[in-house]
Amino acid sequence: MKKVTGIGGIFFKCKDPNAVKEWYNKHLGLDAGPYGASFEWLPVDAPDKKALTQWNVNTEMAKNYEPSTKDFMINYRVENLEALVEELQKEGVTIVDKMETYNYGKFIHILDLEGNKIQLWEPMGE
Amino acid sequence: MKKTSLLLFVITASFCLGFAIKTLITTQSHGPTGTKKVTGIGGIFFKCKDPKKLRDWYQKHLGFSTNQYGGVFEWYQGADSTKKGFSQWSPFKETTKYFAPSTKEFMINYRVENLEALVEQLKKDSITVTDKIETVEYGKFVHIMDLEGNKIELWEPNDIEFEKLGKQMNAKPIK
Repeated sequence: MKKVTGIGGIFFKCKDPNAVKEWYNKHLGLDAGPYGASFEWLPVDAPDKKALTQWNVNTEMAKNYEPSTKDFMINYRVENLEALVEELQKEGVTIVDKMETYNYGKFIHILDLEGNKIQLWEPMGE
Repeated sequence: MKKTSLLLFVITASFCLGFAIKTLITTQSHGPTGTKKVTGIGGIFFKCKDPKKLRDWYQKHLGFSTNQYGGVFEWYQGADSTKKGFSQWSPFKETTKYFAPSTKEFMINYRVENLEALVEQLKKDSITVTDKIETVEYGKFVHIMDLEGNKIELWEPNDIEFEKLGKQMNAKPIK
């Protein structure tokens, strides 16, 4: 079974998200809105479809990285989230929450063996 | 009546012109030098206790193909679908000096279009550039600091050479 197929996003904590976004816009040309900036690419197996990697920053108080205490979180694109979660459960991997479905895809969070929180994303309608 | 129409026309025209100029200025502000800067994510690096165990974990549970350097994500470029692009994923030992002087647990590599022009501009803008541009077969590299002390790796990739290198090492990309 195909599992992770790409990087869906990179998120990191900072003192002042607005100042950081402005800095990255001014100096590196990142066009970050309220949800950050998006990088567009095409999956090798489906080059007719667009894929996005989201870049965003959060305040140091952000609760969405918990229970990880790290200052970053990575989102990975997966092909079939439900099948993958079933397998991860069987393998004893810590699943932090329940799968949520939005119009842009399904999400769930797991922990890796060193406590890094991972966001898994099966994109839809990009 | 005619005067009113004329006035209305002038007001509408000025508004449209103003809007057009504003749009032009806003668009230009994304790249003050007129060049594209960052075009994508070139890599994600993060510290961990045991890189080998972590790589094995990602291989076993999330299907990563890994080697001693981590894994490589392969994709096609949004701006030119005939060209491949790559993003490196690598866990580092927590004692690594590679992220210094940053004390953060991660470092991001951004792909850029014209590294030399960008570095010149960054220096003019008083951004801390921590080393000299290094040129290797698969591209040019330099490191800078952002305003909160995150070290950033900038990479002007040579994707064809990068792919060759991967094939020489027998590395299977993640896609």
